[in-house]
Amino acid sequence: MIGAQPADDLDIVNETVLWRRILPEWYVPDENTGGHRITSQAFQNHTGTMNMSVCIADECKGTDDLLVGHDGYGIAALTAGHCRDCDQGIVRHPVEHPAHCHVVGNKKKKKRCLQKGAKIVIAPALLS
Amino acid sequence: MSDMLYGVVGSSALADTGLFTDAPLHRQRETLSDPPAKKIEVTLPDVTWVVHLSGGDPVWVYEVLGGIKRLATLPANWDSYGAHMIQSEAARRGLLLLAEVMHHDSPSPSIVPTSTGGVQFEWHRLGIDLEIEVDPNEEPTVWYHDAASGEEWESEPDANLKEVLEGPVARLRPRDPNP
Repeated sequence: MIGAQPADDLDIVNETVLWRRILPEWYVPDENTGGHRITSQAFQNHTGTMNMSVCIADECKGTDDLLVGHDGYGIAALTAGHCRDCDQGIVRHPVEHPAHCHVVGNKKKKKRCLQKGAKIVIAPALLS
Repeated sequence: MSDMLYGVVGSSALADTGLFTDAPLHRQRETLSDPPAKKIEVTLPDVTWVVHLSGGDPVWVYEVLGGIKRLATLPANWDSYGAHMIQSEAARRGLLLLAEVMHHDSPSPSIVPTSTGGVQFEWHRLGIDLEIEVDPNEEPTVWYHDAASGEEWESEPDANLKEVLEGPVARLRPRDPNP
């Protein structure tokens, strides 16, 4: 429904840290900082859905838990509260992993909002 | 404002660009002093482009073409969340937009794939952030942020992007150390 609030599990409190895997293609040079930044395109929904995959950091067995089988990937952290500030909800979806969740909502206008609150935990490999 | 002429043609019908010419290269020279047009052939999975450059040989053209060629090799589901392969038509539209607004000395953008099969060109330099998203199914959009002034905006769907981008692209150019 247009204007409807996304589903949101408030048991996932605002302080909850969420980890998102970051592909090397999503890590671009940033001359403003002298380093790199995560592109806004890293915060899009799964194709054809309103869902973006994340995992609850405290429920993962370390960063390796999220990166196994994903050579070269990195991890970015956002808080559930920041996602909600970007008009998103967070719901559990423990299919791939017990800690797996979806950040639910329209990302078209909000991907940059999400990007601004993301911090690198593990940097992806740099593309040559 | 761009002072270069580009034609981008391919094995699919692209003659509506208005920049297409099948004239022999020597006919593109308007005067004897004009340098001959340069032709760059770019082979993508579904099409071969022939890019005609006249009046300049800017680095950014080669780097953008190289970036597009690299992204075109990404397979379907490249992000493991159902992402589409990059559509060459979206990349072509993006390249033509850059050709309209970039200068000889414009810095090359970073190029990232979008999950819908498009491309995003982005620059982060001189206190400026500029992103041009070219979606296969929608008009391109522009996002701009200037840290010094705090200015931040996103283009409207019906915006004239050539006008919208003129100022931001100019601000990205290398600054004269001896003004």
